[in-house]
Amino acid sequence: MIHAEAVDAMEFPELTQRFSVQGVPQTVINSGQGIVVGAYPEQQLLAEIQSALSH
Amino acid sequence: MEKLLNEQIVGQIRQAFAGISNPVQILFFGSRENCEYCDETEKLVREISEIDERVNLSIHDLNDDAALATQYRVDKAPVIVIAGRDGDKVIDLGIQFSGIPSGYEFSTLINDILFASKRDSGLGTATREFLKSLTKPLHLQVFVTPT
Repeated sequence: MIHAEAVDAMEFPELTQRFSVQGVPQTVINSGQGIVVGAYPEQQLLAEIQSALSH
Repeated sequence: MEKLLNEQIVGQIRQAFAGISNPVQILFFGSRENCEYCDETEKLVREISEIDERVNLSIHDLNDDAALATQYRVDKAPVIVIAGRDGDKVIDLGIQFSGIPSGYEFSTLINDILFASKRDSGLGTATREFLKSLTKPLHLQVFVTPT
């Protein structure tokens, strides 16, 4: 149900371009349903994921 | 051929792997086409798996093993899938590293292996409850750079 993937931004330029990755870490939720820029503590990341999934 | 990991690093990994509780399965997916870092990544996971017998490794090709790649949601190369292992059974934990885990990301890979072994994400109760309640697949891609 949950697929967690670390992506080397340098090696997959088409992906970094598609999701406009300019800084790392950047978390992309469900191929663009949500985007979280920067490192978030667990609770805040959870809130971001919940918010992304709700629209 | 010269090793990628020197003796000191191998010693540190061996020490970290002492904490392994359950066997782990690494599935490496490479490709013969347009893959600058496939050979080096394969070499790296081979050297890691040689350090501890509980870290099992299987080598696959994105095209030749297309069905397996699809099963593990692998659509590029190189990809390192970190799974659990119970006897002969591979347990898909949904964890993968896409690209070569060099520099700082190398310790991410080692930690992923330890997480897979413990079968414990270390996440809090609220996060676990939410993730359990999911009815649709959730794909998280964390973009990183090695430095």
